[in-house]
Amino acid sequence: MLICDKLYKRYAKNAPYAVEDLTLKVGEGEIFGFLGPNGAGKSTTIKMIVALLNSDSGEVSLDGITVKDDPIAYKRLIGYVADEPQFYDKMRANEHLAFIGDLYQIPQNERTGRIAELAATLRLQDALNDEIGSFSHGMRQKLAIISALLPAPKLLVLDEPMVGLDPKASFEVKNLLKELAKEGRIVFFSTHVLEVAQQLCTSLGIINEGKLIYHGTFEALQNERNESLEELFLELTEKS
Amino acid sequence: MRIPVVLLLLRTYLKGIRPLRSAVERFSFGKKKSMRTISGIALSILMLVSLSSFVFLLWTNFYNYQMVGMMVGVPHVGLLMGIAFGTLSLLIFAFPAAINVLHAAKEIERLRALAISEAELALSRMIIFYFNFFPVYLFFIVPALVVGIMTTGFSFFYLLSSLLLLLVGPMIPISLVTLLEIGVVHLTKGRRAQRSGELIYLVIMMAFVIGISSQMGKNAEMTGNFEELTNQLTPVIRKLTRYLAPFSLQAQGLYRPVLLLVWLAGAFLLMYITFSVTAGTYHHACSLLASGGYQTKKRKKNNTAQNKPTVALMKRDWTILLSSSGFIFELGGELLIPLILIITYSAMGIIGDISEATKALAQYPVFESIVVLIVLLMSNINMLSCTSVSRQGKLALHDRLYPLEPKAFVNAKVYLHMALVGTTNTLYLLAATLLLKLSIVNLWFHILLSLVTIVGTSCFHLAIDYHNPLLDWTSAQQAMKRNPNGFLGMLVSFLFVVWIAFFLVGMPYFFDVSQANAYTLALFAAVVTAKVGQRLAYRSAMGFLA
Repeated sequence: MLICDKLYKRYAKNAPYAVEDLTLKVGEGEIFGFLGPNGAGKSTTIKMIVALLNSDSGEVSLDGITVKDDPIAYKRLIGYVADEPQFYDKMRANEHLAFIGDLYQIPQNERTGRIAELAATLRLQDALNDEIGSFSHGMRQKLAIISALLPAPKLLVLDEPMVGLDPKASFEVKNLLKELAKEGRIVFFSTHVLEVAQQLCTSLGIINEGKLIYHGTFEALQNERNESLEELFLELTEKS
Repeated sequence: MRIPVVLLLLRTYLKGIRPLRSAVERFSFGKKKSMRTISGIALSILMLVSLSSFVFLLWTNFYNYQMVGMMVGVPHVGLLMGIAFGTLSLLIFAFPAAINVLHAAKEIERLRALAISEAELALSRMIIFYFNFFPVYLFFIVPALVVGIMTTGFSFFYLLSSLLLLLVGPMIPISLVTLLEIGVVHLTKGRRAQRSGELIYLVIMMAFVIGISSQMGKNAEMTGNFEELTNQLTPVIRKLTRYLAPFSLQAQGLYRPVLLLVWLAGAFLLMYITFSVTAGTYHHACSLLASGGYQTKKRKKNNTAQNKPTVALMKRDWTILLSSSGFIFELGGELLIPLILIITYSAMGIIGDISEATKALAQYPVFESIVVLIVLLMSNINMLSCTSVSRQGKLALHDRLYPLEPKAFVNAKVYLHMALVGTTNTLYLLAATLLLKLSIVNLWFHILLSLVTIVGTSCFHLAIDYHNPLLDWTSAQQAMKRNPNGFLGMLVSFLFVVWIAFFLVGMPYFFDVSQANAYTLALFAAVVTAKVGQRLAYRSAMGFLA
């Protein structure tokens, strides 16, 4: 289980909190959608979860392991797809994947099979021998997803994963995420596309001005108000 | 062409990079404001002192040349040398930056999509290129101009011609480099094959500079008799003015209006041609670089075999090193300087002279140690590790995601440093031992001492770069040449060698310690210092990665 416990983060001493008193829990097999307007604190929260940023106070734990107590074990459990996937452009895609495989010490035969399977699913197998600098945004996004899934992480964190993907790839990624959840993994992703959240998520959180203003299922939220997710989202974020 | 648009592009560039503020920020260390101010001031003073000492050295050199020239009736030799050094330095240093500044900077792609003409964009990039290297030219020319005033006096015309030299002079090498760069981009169709060409260019240029200076030194064998001395120097100086005729013209133009107009006319013509070529080919060159810069051909051998994490990190760092011609050029140059020296001196027959001269010096017990220290100094002064994290750019932050101890990242970088610098240093030591007929028995100790020093230096360098890496850069030169960590690292390299020299040479010389004991003390000092460096590097990496 992923637990964020009373997270606080601000970027300068007197600046307002980018994330304030954020507490949430996401269990195995859940697909958690993290929604919020621009600048609400989604990416900051995600960066704290994946250990790219340290929180000012509070902590994140995954299956009882915190980044402070055992950073290596914690990082082994996490796969991360950034909102703007960045790579060393002169590396070939298969070299990058080999690099990830080496860092996570994935045995050769296991990694070869997994790369082939994931590349086939996301239709990237023909480009694996190309330099990443020649990739389109969508191809980079696919490569980022394959890299994140290669170590078979317990928690997959994705920041705006559908941006730049063509409809077919987007459909395949959604199916992939559902498969992962079925396997008992946790999928945590942020999105601006409310329909995607509605179709895919088993639970969702809405953040605005650094504070979590809703955490629960879409059905529970809708039963309360009987409105579309778009209307609910606008109402909640404007009200706060 | 709309000049206001060009000016707007230049203003925007300056706003985007804020050179002054960035420089101040880069020189400030520590979390507290007071600490940052103190460190900023201290480092600025340190940098200023180092620069001033270099300027003083140049001034002394140019003054000597000027005096020798005056003795033989050629009164502008110091100025000629200043102009030659300034121009050749720009030809060497500006070339690797040319592609990045003129055609491949990250912001150019966005600018090309705007309603800006090829000529406007090309001109703005050429001006940026010029201003990037203007300080380098200034650095060489100003001491020479001061020498000119001191030896031939001050006049209004000299002031005017000096200002014109300072402003227009750098445009000549900048134009030549620009034309060469455009040629390379078109000949290689923007593919990275240019790398080998760039290295060849570097070697040729450096060999040319070393060759000219060594040829002058070889012929200028001083004797005590003034008449004989003048007779010996006259052909040398004449040869110098003949070899470096364009620079001689510029130097004479400082005093003679006609010659000033001649070289200015030539410079403006060259600039006009360069601008026309750059503007006319701008989009094509950008397009070639954008489409030809990446390899999509299948490799016969798929280099994805399983490795240990440390090896994977070394391979990753190696790929980064090869990713930019700026990095390759910088590091290639640093590592190859001793080799270029040896080849050039051998080709010119000077190596024999050096070997002869060292026979007399070899009688001194510290001679071997001094040779080892010189070789170590040449190998050790480089920016390989002190810009290693900076070279990763923003992707360095991704290292925080990987399940590895910070030590693993430091170790991988040190191993790569050793593979490159340690290997070349050992080869140069071997060459020095054979050429200068040093003791083979002592060679093993020399190698061991050098390797420990290089490891220690690499650790200190990493401690510096992990403490305050420059991750936000748009051209490779910013990550290396204009990165204060590079300067600090080279200073540390120098101090480390001085520290070892204290034990290796200072102890026997000043305290009468036996050579064997001095060796042991030097090795002990190197090991202890390297260990301190390692701890600092680990701590610094922990702060950055954890």
